[in-house]
Amino acid sequence: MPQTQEKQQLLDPEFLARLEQLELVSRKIFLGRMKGERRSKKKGQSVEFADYRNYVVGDDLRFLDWNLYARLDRLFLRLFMEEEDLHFYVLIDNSLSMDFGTPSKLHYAKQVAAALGFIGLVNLDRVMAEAFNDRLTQTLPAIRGRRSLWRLLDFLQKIDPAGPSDLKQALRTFSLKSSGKGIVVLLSDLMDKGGYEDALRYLVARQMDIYVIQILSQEEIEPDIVGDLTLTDVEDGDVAEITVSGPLLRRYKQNLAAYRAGLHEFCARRGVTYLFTSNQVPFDRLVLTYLRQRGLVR
Amino acid sequence: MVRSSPVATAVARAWFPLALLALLLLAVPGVVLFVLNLLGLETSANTWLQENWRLSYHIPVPWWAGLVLLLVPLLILLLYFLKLKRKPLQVPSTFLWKKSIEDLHVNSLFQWLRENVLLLLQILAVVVLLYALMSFQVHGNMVEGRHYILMVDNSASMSATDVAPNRLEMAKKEALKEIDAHTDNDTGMVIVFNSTAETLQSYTHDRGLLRLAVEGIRPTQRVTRLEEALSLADGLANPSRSTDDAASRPAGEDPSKARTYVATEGMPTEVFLYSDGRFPDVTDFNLGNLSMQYQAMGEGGDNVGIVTLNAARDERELGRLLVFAQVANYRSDDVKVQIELEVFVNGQPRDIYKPQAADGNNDGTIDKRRSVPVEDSKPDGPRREVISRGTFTFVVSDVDDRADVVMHAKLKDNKDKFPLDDEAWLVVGVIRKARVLVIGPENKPLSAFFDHPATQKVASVTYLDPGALKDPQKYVQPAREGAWDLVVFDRCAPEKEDDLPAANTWFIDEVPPPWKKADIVKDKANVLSGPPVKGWDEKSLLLRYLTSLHEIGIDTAFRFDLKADGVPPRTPRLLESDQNTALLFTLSRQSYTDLVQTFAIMTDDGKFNTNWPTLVNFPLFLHNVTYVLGNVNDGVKEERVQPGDVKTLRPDMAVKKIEVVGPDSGGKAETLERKGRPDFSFGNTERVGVYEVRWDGKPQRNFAVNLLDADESNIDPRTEIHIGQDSIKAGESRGTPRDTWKWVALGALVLLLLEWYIYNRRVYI
Repeated sequence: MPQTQEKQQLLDPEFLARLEQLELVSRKIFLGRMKGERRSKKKGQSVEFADYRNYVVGDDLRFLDWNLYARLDRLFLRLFMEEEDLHFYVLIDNSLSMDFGTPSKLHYAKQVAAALGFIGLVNLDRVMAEAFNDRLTQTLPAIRGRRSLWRLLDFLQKIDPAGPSDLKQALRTFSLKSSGKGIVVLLSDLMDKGGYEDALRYLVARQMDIYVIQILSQEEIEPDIVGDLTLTDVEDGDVAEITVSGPLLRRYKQNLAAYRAGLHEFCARRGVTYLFTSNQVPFDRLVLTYLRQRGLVR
Repeated sequence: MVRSSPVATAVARAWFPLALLALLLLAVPGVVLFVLNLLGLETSANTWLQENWRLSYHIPVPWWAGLVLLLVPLLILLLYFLKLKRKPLQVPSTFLWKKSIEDLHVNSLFQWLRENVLLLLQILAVVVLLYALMSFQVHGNMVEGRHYILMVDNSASMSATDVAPNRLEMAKKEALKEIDAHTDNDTGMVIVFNSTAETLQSYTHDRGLLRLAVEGIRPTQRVTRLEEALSLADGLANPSRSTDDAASRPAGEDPSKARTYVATEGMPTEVFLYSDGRFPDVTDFNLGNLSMQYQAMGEGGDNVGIVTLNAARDERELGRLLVFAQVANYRSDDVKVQIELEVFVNGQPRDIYKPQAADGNNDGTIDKRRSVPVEDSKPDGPRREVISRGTFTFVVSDVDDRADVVMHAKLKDNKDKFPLDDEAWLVVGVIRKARVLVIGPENKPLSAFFDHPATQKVASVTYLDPGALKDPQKYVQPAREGAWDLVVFDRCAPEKEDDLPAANTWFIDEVPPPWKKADIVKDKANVLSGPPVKGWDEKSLLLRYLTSLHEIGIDTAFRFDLKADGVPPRTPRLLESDQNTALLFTLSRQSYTDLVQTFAIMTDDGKFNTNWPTLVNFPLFLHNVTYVLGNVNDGVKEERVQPGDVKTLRPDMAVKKIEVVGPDSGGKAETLERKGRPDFSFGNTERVGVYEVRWDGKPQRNFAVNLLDADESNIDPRTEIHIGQDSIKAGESRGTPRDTWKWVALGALVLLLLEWYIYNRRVYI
């Protein structure tokens, strides 16, 4: 059954304290826009030595390595690592199908988004959030710094389940709109009749560090239904008449497993990290254990 | 993953439809037997089963319940197919479900049925239940069980409606219970009795046959007599001699065709009597091996009925009839009776008569039944019941003695539990004259009687000379055709037996052929001179009202040896002389009577041979001879005919066939052929009412059949009956302990449904 507005607190202070220890990790190094706490592809003015290069006219003489010049009689310029901020995008599926389960999948997604966003904010990353169903519905412009946490939470609280989902359209719009590169976390049930492949390809094409977290409710993983039922799709009203029997349930579970396996394989081939979770897995454990294992946070 | 072999896959796929098919095939014989039972062919089916499989079956439920049960397996299948009402449920996405459905093709009929183990179990359970219900009996290893006889009374009083729907139906129900309470090892017999008794089903193990026999019993309007039923039951239980003696059993007899043999010492047999007990007690019967259980049917004696209806012509005015009706009140309350008499003359309604002042009770009130001491001196001693009767007299004037009058007496506004005796009929017919032929020389005393105007009213007399005996036109042909009721041979006789008339005869101073008087009197010892009259048979109808016959003086007579060849044994002697000599006796010839008088009235020379004509009793004797042997009927003294009695019909003339139309026959006539007899016997008098007799194509006569039986009208069931020395008290009706299986079967069906529900709501397989 769809879960109505759950006005629960997304993050509790104790959990926040634990999150402060973490940071988001990108397996790729991206260009940032502002000075941050991350290495940038750009060489810059940090204290960390990066490389040498030949001096060319016009270079800042302060960075000449005089010692090398003394030994080799050639001018080399010392290059230092540039530290920049990181783009961190959270995409939350708020289609109607996310309003299922206890807690609802949407609430769960919000909690994960809040936790990851908080980690990003603490580490001075540029955190952006988007809610989508068949398009982008709500957008949180880039925020930085711990002090912006309330904006993030406020944004998340205001996301309500609505509309059908069209993953492809939504991610296409997102890809065209967002210019920066960075980490993208997609929180969705990925139960889109249009398929996920095309949608994910848009993200992959952006050369971003992509994390796909598929959230399903326990009812979807282990259906607790009996008898003769008319199943109605909450998003498009599609109807399926079923008579629940052992073979049917077995077949359903097989199909679900095959779907997950397909998704996993698709992601693995494209360097996308895929994580499957149920709404019954405590979200703090997801963040502190599973995402750590997958290398999103450390 | 290990791939299963193709064979295993095929088996896994096919086992369910195969199992379903096997179950349906298993159900086929049961279904066929059920259908045969519904069509009423259970007996034929059982016969076939016994011959081929030594099995028999019986479905002890009504046909509709059988039909329902038969439909249960189909119903279960249908329930599985027609689970149309689906519960709506919203899901996040039907995406995976649709895919699963497509994979399984679950909405396809047979795919859906796939591996539904519960369906198999349910159908199996119902099929087993079905066969259990048929209660198959294996024959062949039969141990000899008990013997029992069901005696069901279907007399008129059993139609009383004091128990719903009537007593007979209640009796049948009780009898069926008794059959159900016995096993197929027991041997049962069904006897139905009323005024007679009939074995509807002789001894059999087949309870289906017994049931059919009991169910086939129909009510009659006859009176009740138990004797015949007892003697039927007596045959096997208390054999005197029997060809079915166990000693006569042939060696190596096929058990399936074996007859029922009687043990030489007789078989202890239980007799279940279902009756209201309103029959005369049977005094000369010994129950012996019969152990009688009597179940009284009915609850009370709420009845008022006509028990007598007769008429008499006014001596002074032949056209005036006095009709008497007696009404008995069997109720325990006084009752005021209104009775009326509807009179039809020659088929046309004439009038409805009210009774004249009733005897002793002017307003028609009849007292209630009373219980009085048998002996007045002992008020606390045994008591007997007194039923009060009211007599009502009607006077019907101006009834032509040649008119056919039908009277219908009816109780008005009388509502009781036994309507059959609320009406009665009386037919006052045309006076039937005797057709008398007198052959012989002149005989003044005889002709003086027959020519008297009073005799002429009841007899038409023809005189012939002895010479005419050989005349085919005058005597031989008419005699053979039954043209006369009485032929008087005065000192003459036909030569051969073939010339004897189809009529009663009176031989005066002669003997009927083949004997000849001339041969008898050759022996002088056979000629008697002055034989005295020593004795006479007062009970004979011919000598009724005759006294002082010893005053008859006879000059000569002859002795006829009643022990001679050809003389029937125990010939009635009407007048006896000494030395064991009969002067007047009757010989029976087919249905006729030959009255033989061994002395002449007048001698051939015109002198009196006896002084009898001078005595008062002579014309009385002639009157009796004319009425009895001449079949005179004065129209009002119609013999009483009760339902089931044989009515003898004597047309006024020689006709070959007659037709009888019954009261409820809808105008359909029953034709009777003469077959060499002057009269016709009509046995189909099953219904009360007026029967019309026709010959020559038009209605000639009517006769009435009435219950008019005070015992039968007394519908208060007796609590105790007496047979021989035994008194049998009415017992309790049999409970039906064996009926509990029906509830168990019903429970099984409910369990099946429950199982179905649980399966579909809570459990997966």
